[in-house]
Amino acid sequence: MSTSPLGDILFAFLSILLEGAPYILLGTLISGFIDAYLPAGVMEKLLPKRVLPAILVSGLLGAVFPVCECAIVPVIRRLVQKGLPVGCAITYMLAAPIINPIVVFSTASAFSGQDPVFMTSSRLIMAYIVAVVAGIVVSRLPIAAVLRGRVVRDLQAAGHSGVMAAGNLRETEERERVSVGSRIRSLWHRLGEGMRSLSGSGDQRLIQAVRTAQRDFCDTGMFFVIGVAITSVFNTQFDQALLDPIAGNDAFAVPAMMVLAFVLSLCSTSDAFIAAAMDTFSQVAKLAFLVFGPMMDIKLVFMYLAVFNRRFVIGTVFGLFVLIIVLCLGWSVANPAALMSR
Amino acid sequence: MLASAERLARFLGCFVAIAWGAVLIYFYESERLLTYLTGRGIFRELVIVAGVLLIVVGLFNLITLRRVVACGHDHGDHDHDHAGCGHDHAGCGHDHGISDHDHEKCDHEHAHDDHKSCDHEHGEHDHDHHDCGHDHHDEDDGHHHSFFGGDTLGSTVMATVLLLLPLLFAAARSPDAYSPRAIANKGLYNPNYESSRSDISLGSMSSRTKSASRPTGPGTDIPQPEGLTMLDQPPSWESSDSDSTAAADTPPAEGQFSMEDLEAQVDRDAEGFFLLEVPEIYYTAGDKEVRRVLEGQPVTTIAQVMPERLNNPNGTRARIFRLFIECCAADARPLSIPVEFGGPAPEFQEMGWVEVRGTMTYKMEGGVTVPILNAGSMIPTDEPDSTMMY
Repeated sequence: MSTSPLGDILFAFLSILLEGAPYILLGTLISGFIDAYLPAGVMEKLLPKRVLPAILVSGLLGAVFPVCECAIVPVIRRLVQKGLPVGCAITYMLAAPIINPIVVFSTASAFSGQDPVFMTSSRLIMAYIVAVVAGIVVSRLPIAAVLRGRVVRDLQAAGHSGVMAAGNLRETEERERVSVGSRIRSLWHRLGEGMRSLSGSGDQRLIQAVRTAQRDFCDTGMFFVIGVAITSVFNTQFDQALLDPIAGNDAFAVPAMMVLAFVLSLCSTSDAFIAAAMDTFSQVAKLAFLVFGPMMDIKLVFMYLAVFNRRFVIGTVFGLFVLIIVLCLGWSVANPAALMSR
Repeated sequence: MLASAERLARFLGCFVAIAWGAVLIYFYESERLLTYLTGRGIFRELVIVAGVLLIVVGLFNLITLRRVVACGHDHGDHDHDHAGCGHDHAGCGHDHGISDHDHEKCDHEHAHDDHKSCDHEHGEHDHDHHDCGHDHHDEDDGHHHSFFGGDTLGSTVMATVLLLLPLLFAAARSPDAYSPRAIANKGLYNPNYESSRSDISLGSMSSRTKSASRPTGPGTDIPQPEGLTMLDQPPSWESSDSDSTAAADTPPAEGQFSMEDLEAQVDRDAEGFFLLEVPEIYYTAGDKEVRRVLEGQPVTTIAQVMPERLNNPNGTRARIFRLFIECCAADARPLSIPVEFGGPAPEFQEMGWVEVRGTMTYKMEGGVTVPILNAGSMIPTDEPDSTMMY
């Protein structure tokens, strides 16, 4: 039995497709129903009013609303269209694939015997810092610099033309301080109104939801297919042992592990096991792999392009890359033992 | 985009959804899925669920293809339906205008939710109002731009092709397995025997029962050079001769793992050989206690065989492996151990399935403890029910 390189690529390609398609469907069903059923403005009410606390909260939402990296992109797009400030959206998007119970568990399992507490907590903390920083940076950018042209046009058509900053919660910072009680009452009132208006056209809402879900599935799926195809080539055609000479030197190992995470496009529930097995690399290098991978890889780049504009995506790739290198430096200074490979 | 073009895009989308759903269901039912996704967790079940759901979504949209939906979603806090405009927007104290909702025109902000002068709330609008009082548009107009159903028919067709062609081509032509080259690329000759995994303990993976498949090919028993018995091996790095022979019959008193544990966790076959899988053996090398117990024990395993490229100057070794899948085949890793024949390795078919019987030993090579199966026999055998390990 000998198969060709093409056969290998097809095999890997199809396996990622079969694994990821259900999650993309899940994400797009959620996004479809968000589009049809979530009253606009609810999110604004639920999040803290000031930008920084809102971003800090968004980073933790993955623990409550866990979404894997394949599912999250269509969800984010709909949430933004429903009024979620883009800064918060970015933070949630980057953090949720890592800061959730499933990944905590799989990371701890993968590193059992290799400092699981240190590796798991470091992964979570580092991911949180990266996501929050990214959210803060994005909240200071104009929306047009972040989102894809079409998405921006949708937002402007929807009446957000007065809002130029992605952190559009800033507008509401100028509002007078409202007491918690009246805020809750107002939210309840708004939800009630929203629900009442929903019942009258339930049929149409359902159709809208399912149509949106299908369209989002196709949209996301297209980018997913491109990304997975490219990843499959890297996954099967290159000898992973080539990285071994780099492993010893952390100055190269950390970037190399991030590049590896980028091209392998593993999902965040399983990447911990791959990283744990690469014992020629230091703990810090593995951390870089585990934090960068769920945030940015080939298939994600393509999926992000459905929501964000190209320059922003490229900028984010490099921004995250540099930020994680800096954080890894900090980690290794604070934990000299983490520099040594096992 | 024209309503009819939107409808075409939606129709193509139905086609895509149904096609993907059909592929997922087919892979599940045909059991081709078994080499693609792990059996642990819900990955496989999700495939059949998603397959059915995709068909449902596609059919639903197909059936409702021609239905015109008037803004099925809400427009912020309007508690009326725009299809029959519950109120006249001109009746408010301000002019919405026909153009884009430019909030600067009004003398109050719409960004907040409390309008003193109107008796309704504007909230966030998802579209511009144009002339109110009539059914605005096909719901897709201006709202939900996507690449699919995007601006041109060409882009929609291209997207459809991209969504159908690779999937169907791969489904038709994928060999459901890796070539030797891919397996080498994935680390066949790069074992890391110092790692450990608590979820792959001895006996945890072995699905073979005592009535395991009998060898099918002509036996290739390795003739033993005279005077050399299975137990008479070069001393392992960590013990003297007396230790390595003693390990087999001294009841161990110390350590967390004992012979009793081994007997309890691992089955033996009819001839008394411990039934172990290669991944299980792979991970014993990192555990001193287990090594101590397993040293010298008779072990049998079924695996695929490849030529050995590590520490094999005289061609006396082969390498056997099982592919281990974490989630999907893309993350598959070959977990392999060397098989030592003591003399020239017998002929074998690359990637063929073999049943190996021998004695476990551990040797220090290249600064690492390596688990080696000193083979008494290596015989071609049937492919097992599950070619992958999970």
